[in-house]
Amino acid sequence: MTELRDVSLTVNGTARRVRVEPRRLLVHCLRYDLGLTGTHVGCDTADCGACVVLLDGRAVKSCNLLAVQADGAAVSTVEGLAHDGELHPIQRAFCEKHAVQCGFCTPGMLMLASALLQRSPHPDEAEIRRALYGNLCRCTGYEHIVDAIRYAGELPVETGTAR
Amino acid sequence: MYMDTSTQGPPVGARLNRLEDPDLVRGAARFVGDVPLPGALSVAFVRCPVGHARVRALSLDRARGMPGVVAALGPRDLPMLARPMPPMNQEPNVAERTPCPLTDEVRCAGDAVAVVVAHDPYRAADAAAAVDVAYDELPVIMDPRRASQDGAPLVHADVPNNIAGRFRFAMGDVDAAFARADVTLSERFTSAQVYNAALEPRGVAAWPGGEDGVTLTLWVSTQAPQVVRRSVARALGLRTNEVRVVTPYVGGGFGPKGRPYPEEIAVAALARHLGRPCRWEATRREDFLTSYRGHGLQIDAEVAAQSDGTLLGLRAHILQDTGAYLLAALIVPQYAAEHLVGPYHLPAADVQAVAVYTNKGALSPVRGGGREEGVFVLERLMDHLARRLEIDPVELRRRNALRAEEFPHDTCYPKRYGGTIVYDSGDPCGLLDQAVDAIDYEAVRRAQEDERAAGVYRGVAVSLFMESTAMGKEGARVEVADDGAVTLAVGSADTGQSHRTTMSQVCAAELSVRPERIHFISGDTQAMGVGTGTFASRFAVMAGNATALAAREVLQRAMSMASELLDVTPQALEVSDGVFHVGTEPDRKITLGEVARRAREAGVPLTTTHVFAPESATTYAGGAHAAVVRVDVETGVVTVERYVAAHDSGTMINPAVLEGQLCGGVAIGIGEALGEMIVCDARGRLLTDSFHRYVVPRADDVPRVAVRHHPRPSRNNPAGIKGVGENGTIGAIAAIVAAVEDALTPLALTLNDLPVRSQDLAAASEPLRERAGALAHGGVAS
Repeated sequence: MTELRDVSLTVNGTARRVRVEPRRLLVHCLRYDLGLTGTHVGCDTADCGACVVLLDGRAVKSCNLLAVQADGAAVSTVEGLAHDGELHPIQRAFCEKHAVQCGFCTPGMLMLASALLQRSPHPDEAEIRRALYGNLCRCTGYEHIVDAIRYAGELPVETGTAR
Repeated sequence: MYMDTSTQGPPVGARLNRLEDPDLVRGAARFVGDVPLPGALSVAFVRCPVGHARVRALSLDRARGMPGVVAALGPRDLPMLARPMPPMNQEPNVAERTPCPLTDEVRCAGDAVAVVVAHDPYRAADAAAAVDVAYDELPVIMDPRRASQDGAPLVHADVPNNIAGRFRFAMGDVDAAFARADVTLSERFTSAQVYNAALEPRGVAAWPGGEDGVTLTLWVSTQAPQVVRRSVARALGLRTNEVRVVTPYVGGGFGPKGRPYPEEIAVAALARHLGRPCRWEATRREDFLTSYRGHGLQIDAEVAAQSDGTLLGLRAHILQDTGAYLLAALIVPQYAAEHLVGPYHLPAADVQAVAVYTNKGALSPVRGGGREEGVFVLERLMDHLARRLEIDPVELRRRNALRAEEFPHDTCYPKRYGGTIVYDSGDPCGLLDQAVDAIDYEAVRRAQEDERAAGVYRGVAVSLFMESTAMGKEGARVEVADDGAVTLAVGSADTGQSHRTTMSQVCAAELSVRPERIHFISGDTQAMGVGTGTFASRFAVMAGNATALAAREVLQRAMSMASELLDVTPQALEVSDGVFHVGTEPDRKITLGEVARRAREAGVPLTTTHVFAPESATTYAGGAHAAVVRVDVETGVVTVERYVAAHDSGTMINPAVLEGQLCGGVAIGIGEALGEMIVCDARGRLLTDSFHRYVVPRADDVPRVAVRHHPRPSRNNPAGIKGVGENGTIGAIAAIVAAVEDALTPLALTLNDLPVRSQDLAAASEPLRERAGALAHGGVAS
């Protein structure tokens, strides 16, 4: 069997240590080793974006990264968006704008959107649609997702800042 | 007019926020891969890459010796997996052939020839890769037109000429109609196979145990848990009530997850064989290979009309490519045939169909289920007829469309469940007006000449349709506990349609309680065994009525008991927010929970089940869609600039949910109109096996959809509901293709083949580029 490697991650603000095979994908490390099943696997070719998490604040596709590549990094997943039970503004916006149907793409959409809003707090529709290029949704036709992200960008700044 | 979610009131018709969302946006919702199953083993299948082959040799030794591998099995190792899945339709005169969970005779790429079980998914994948298989490739038949010819390779040795079945729907005197016509048109239409592309690939988990007599519990990413339960029970020789199927959250379905699959039987059998929980999650490539597919029709159609555009008759011959197996009987070509009469006065029609087996992935309804193809053909014929007669396509539709006062309207045309298609309510002319107004049709038309002169190719088009929605039966159980908590259990599984939200709204409206107080269960066979599945635009109609009627009965019983307890007539009682009180004396009251407790103590618990199963559940929704597109004649790329969907979905439970269904349906329709297609090579290998090669619409490929509600409540069910799930897709394909053709009017194209691909449009647009070049050159010269 392949030699296992130690990987240290800060996941949603908490230090975690895992021993993984070098080939283990980051998404599987999150799902299997850390029990964070909110991050989904919709493909393994970096097309669909269901696995998007933030790596040191940047949106990445965790199905195309090895866990060992994330050693020492801070990883944010959908489970870390809410704070003290209070939904993050982007989560609230998704609820209020009916941006969710089956919900399988939603965690990736939320993480992508939170990164976008961090970079560009008030994106217009074209910017949002461009940013969503790597995130597929088959249910909604994207319209309500676009609306939700724009709406989240309009929410008050003190609550609208992605953590 | 819409209520605030925090207040109590009649919630049907309210834009309630979805009750599903808090779990989904937190990442707390569990899909099949997330269900905790301590000690679960991972299952991986070994699949044949080519379309037709016999396994010459299968060696599992290397796989069995690998670390972490628990079992590696071929069809001879577990004979129950070598038998075809139980046929679930068994219709007369249909040669229904189903796949085997494991086989040594491969009939389409993706058929499983072996399976491995290991301690984790990585080891299972390693072991599957280490299974050695030698195949003898057999001649493949990929072209449905050749499949029924003598001498064509047979997909199933016992199905002559590969013919799975035939049918004919006819009414009126078609020959006479064509004989007296001023004009007739004859066209051939084709559609490529398409993939549902649900974001969650398929998956199954099985535990060889359960409670209350259940010996096998399955978690399945399915639209139809009751069907899966029957399929697995029959395959494994179990009683139906020994098997429980639970649908956790399901990441989209769109039709193909509405049919039973061989992997459900395989994983269940492995769990029982090994005495351990087992789980299989398809990779995306595997999902591309094995999920049942849509479309794959060829339709030759002729229309006869008077010179003023009045329709006289229609003839069609449908050739349905069913792929290698038949999981959905002849549903798809039958829906296509049913939708060839449309929202028009059509006195005569004769539609014949034949379904043939080929060595491709098996057919299933995919969002539209054949309706979208019937609508595509009829609406394309209307556009071609308009062009021939030099009548505006909107005007041609207006001359033929049914008016609101003509409903109910008996088309006299057969329906697949028997009887004739009777449109219960509708207003096609009104829908058409709404769509034409909202897209500003005349303005787009007026601008076209100048735009073309400037090299801008913009087109506008409409599609108009009636849609068969709902079928089958659906159960709902409503139960009130001593604390007033209401439990609502319905049969079919949610795959994104907002079942919890909409059914809670219906139940809450009947019981006068707040929707969020309702404990909702769907897609669990133990909680509700009656359910046909979430497809065919049927759930809201069937479960909505079942829920309303069950809740109504519970309320009536509670009212009657409350009136006894308060010593007043039921008429004197009012109910709000779970409390009954005397209208004139608000302090004389009793809670719903207290009534439930007294009812339970009296031996008649406050619970009831209603199975909504009318003789004909079908109700007809309607739609008029309008699209404005722009075609780049350099690249052939089509931009959908504006889109309008006017729809009649009867009584609306939650307009925001409806709008979501329509927007999503339109997006799929745009994808299927403009590029989605499954491609196989000459050996039957699947080439479109990733989202690189099978491209579904992205956020910047689809426009906003302006929805116009034009509800005409159904006359066929007490709640007045019609289905909406497929409306968007059905209207979009026809409207988009017509708009592209309109944009390229100078080329006089006839776009009858799905999908319309940009490379083909670019090639066809050569004369327009030459013209632009000549103009530019002329400009420089002068």
